[in-house]
Amino acid sequence: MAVQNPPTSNVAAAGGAEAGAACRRPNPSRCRVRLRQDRRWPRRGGGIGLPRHPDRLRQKETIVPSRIRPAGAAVEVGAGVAARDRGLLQVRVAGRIRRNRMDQRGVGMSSDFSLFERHVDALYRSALRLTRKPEDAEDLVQETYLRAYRYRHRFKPGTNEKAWLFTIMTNVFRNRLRQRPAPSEPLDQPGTDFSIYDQLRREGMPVHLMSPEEIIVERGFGDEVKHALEELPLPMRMVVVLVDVEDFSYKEVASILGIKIGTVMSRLHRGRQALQKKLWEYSGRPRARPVAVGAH
Amino acid sequence: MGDHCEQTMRKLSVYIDRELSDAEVRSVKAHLDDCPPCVKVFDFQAEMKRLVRKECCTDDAPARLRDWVRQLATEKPPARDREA
Repeated sequence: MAVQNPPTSNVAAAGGAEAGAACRRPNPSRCRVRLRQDRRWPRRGGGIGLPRHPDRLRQKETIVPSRIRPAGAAVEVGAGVAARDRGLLQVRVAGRIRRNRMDQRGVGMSSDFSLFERHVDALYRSALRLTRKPEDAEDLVQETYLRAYRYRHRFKPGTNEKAWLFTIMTNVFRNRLRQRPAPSEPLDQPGTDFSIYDQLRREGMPVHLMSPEEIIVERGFGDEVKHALEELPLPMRMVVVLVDVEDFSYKEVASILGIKIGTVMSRLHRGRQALQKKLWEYSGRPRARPVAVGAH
Repeated sequence: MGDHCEQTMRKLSVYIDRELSDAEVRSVKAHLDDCPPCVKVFDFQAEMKRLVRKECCTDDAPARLRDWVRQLATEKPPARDREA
């Protein structure tokens, strides 16, 4: 007999609850057997250590954030805890969707969704950097808003709605990438210490007498920023976009991407150096030798 | 290049991102007050950050996407709702 799809509202509590729900039988030894058989199902995105039945997998390919803090709020970023939280959350969300689907359909939208509407430009320009194609970016933003709409009851008023939307978008984007990887994504690469400023100084350019704007304009470094950014490997590109373009704090970026703050910082550091190196190459200069950052 | 310069250079981008602790901000500021070469590097890196932001902020969402989102916010769920 196939495993019944249990009413998921009581599934969320813990792994034990899921085991109980997946197998409503008096005989505990049978439960163990069933669980072990269940382990053949793919474990995807779950943090609670139990396999999911494919019937339920279908409903929750997206992680919906529940705990984006307002900017500046204290938060411990621990990858393990976050993953476990998300795993539990997914189960809860899946249950709620099923229960609320009828309620949500066709109901006029409450005014608070307009809170999310104002971030469409930010989401679109970031989507453009991630996907590198206008039509894909538009599609990604639409999907993001659909999910935000569907899961809007998960959003806690007073928390950072922009970070919430970006969490959804990066999750949708990563899921898509898993399903059909982009053919020409640059591979992640080790950091190379590089700084345009130091490079110019080595060449004997009187950088100490020039304003930064003069340096940038004179060498045309500004013209290809978007292109250079899109050439960065995705993990670095995401962090640079979120910090430098969207002005998120390290903490918020860590939360959006589900990584540690230290990882945010190292990707940012490598990303910025790689970006400067690309700009240097585009500006028609010969390939640079690595130099120590800040060498006077 | 002195020890102070090296330390400051290491913290410079975090300083520009306004993510340093108050004590570290004070130490970086104190050094920048005394060290014009480091100030030049600071100015350049800060300008690079501004440049990235400025260049990337030129892409606004297409009007039809904006309208679609507004419709989502004000009317019934739009037709493009793809069910999982």
